[in-house]
Amino acid sequence: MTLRFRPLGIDIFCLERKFLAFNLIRRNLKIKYRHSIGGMLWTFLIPAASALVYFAVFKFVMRVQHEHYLTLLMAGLLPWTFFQTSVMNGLESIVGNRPLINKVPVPPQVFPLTETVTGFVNFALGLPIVAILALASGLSLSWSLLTLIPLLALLLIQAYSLSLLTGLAFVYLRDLKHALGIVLQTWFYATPIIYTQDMMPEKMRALVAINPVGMIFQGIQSAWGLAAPLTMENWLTAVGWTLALFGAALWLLKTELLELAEDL
Amino acid sequence: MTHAAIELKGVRKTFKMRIERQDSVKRMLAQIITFNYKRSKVETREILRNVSFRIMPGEFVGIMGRNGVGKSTILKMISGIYHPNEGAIHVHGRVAPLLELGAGFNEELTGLDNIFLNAAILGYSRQQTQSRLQEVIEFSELHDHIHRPVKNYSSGMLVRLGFSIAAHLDAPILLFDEILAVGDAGFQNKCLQKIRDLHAQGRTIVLITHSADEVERHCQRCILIDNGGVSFDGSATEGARRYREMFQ
Repeated sequence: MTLRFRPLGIDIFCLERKFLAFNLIRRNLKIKYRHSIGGMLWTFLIPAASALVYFAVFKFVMRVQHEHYLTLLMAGLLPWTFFQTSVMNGLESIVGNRPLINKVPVPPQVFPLTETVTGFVNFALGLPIVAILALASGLSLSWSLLTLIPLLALLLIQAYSLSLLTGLAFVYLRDLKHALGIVLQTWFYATPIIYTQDMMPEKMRALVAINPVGMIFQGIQSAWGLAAPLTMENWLTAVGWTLALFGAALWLLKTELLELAEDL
Repeated sequence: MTHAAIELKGVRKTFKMRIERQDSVKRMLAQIITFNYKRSKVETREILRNVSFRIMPGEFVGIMGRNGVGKSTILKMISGIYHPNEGAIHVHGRVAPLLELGAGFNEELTGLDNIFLNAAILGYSRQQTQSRLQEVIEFSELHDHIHRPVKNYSSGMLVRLGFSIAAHLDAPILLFDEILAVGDAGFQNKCLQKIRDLHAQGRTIVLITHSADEVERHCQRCILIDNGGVSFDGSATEGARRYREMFQ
């Protein structure tokens, strides 16, 4: 029983090249974790270090009021780091594999897909640590944690779509890396990670809905019991943005696919 | 009625050279803001004008021509890496494009890991790779080295591994693009013998080479590409002779 999903005639999730995708992902993970503890730890240390800095500055200098601020930060920084690295790595993944794309018929989307899945595996390994942190700081966890499953699924699709979009665009616009860096920086502050929606002034709360990942991150905060639960409208916004980004990526791939190998 | 293994009909291929490339986000935005947006100017260069030929299953064909005439482009179109601008290409049966040995090899991984990676890249499934694994390792003569990272291999070892993977895959159609130009004489002989064995098994083999000797000795048929089209399509001996004449 082979799963087939070919919207617009494109095997967007590389379901027909599972062995290839699996091997490329395994290659990425092996290289990263070859020096075992070192590699694994780094993936976690970077967001952890950021969390500590934000904690120190926002709790003690800016006097942000939140009962479980450190947990809040970690709960949001880990998925954000996944999102950011998927997109930044995906950006260069197609151009970076030019030698391969020119020599063998491979579906180019497999490269951003590899980066996204690799990033997700790294992220997933850090999740238990957030749980430990939460429990250690006296936060009680509830069934709302289960909402993480659909939320992370949406985030995964958005991350993949965006990494595919930037990966394809990078073939034609070579200074996109710099521009993307700036966009992601700003985007970070527009997303509920270092604050919750109820800390925002009324008029600014609409920002969260306009942000494609806004509702996903708010949902993540509420899954950990650190913010109010999402309304049906919130969920629809999140799904809507995910479908929009996915559709855009699919459309761009369809447009560029035939001549991509030559344009590289 | 047997289908042709490979058939090209009136294939035309052009490449776009972008002059004044629009390749910067900043420039693009600046131009849009000042209502000065210029699209990339594109110049089209025709590489192949009208290529037609049929290769039947089991044939061993040599393709020759000067550098840059479009031989690799033809192979890439047969493999599906490039697409023709006009005309049609029909391929009947799975194709193993061997335009470069060891495509996708990663230095940090072991030879064994790279066998799986390379096979996956070439389109093989886990079962197919697993079933040929022993033969691949034996032919490469790498023995225990197969468990060491590829970055420690000599160039000779890399070539032996790459060729071994290529030679043991089950595709009925094999395309080789000048890959026999590497390795020492002993290895080259071993490769050529293996290719002959593959041909004896009934595979269709297309070989791009600059060696008229090779074509004469191993191929039955030779196709010469010149001036954007097929300038000769016939016996290997005659093809080899004409090819040599081109350089006199």
